[in-house]
Amino acid sequence: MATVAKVNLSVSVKEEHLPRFGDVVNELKKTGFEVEQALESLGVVTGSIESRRMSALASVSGVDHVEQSRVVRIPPKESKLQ
Amino acid sequence: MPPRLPALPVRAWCLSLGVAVIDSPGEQMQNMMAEVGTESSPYLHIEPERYVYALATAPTLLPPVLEEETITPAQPQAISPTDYLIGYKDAVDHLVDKMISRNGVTQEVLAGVVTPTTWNEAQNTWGLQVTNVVQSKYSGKGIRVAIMDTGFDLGHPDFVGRNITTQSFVPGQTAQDGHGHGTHTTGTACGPKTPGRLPRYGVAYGADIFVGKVLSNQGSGSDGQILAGIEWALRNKCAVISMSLGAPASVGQPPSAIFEQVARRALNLGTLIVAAAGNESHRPQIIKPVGHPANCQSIMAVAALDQQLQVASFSAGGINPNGGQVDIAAPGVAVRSSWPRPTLYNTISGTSMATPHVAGIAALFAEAEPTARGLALWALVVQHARNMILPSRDVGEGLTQAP
Repeated sequence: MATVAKVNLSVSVKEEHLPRFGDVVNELKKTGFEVEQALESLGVVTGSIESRRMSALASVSGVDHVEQSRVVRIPPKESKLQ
Repeated sequence: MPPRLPALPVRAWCLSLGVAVIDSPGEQMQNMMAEVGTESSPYLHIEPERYVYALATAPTLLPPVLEEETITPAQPQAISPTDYLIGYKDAVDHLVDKMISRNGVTQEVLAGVVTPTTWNEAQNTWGLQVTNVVQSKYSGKGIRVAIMDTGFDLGHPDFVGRNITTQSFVPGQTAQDGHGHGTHTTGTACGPKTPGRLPRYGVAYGADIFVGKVLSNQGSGSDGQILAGIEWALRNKCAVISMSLGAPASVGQPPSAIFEQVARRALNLGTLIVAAAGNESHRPQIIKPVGHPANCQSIMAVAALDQQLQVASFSAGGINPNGGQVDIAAPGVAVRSSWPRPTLYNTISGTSMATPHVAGIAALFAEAEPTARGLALWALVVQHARNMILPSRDVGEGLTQAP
């Protein structure tokens, strides 16, 4: 069975929609978005979604930016340059 | 009503500034000059009126006084702006040469401060010395500083009795530091005044420490974990968040709009976020741009300086036209700080090491000015940075200095 390509995302909520943050989170879930963190005081939701469903996110009312989640890395503990 | 001045040819008054412009008062000048600044004199300062020019047209423009009046012995000889500038340059060159070579010994000069080419680190790390932390009377007492990193060695003997609150955002891992990076950066930001073994290595020895583990013991973390850590720090009313972490950015790549939004919200809520500019450069041949998330406008990006107060070879530069400037610089080479047991101390380099110097100093300013938070705290920190004879592309406003 083919594995489904999923992408990790951060989604920000527009300022004027912050009072209905919970509703926006629910609507994101309906698109197939799996919520990892709902960070209300930041107005940001993080999670993952199948890449083929990504386009549905922008049409959710209240969504501002959608960005792919980056990974930050520091060198191993033995390194003298950190 | 302007006060009455003894029969002076007043050309203009600015009452709110307390300044008057007068035409040459002739014989009265000597009396006025003798009196100025004394108890009985109403005058604080007397200065000749200057003329200023738009710089692009300066070489062809002569002061208007030449066209209208004859030059009397009491007036300075009017000279062309070009001659003036050349003379000024000669004077500055002479002064710099004099300061650089003193008693036949070449020394580094930093805007009037002589820095030793070798450092005595018996009592304090070179970083605490050059940032003026050693002289500061502030400790960050009552200020909450959050360090987003690999956690902290909670049993480190130098931190017994400190207020430390921890939270892990790495699934399956506790806040206990299994890498070392987090213990080191926390040490620089908030280490003790009197560690178990000298030298002192920490800035804000009185601060309340908030350890947010957003990087795993293997040294990696996602945007989501970092954002969760930031939210936690905000909810805990931390005045400063120190983030010695980042991902490389490419030239032309715009900063994260989401991190920018978050950082701006944080500033509005009274939290200053400080982050490492990045270690990707190989100067002088290769300068890499400031990485994510330090490249956000609302995040203070910290570059690294070496012990000769030159830009560290690895330190990123503000070369991206789409934002990503360096805001400030701090010691980032051969920085000694705490390390997990049993090693206890380690000396490493990186913009990761420069960042907590600034975060700790921000905590000192936060203590010094209890109403200054967010953008106001940012302003305090950069205003007090020491000018350097280095490009702002590389050092921003200069070398961070403690209050």
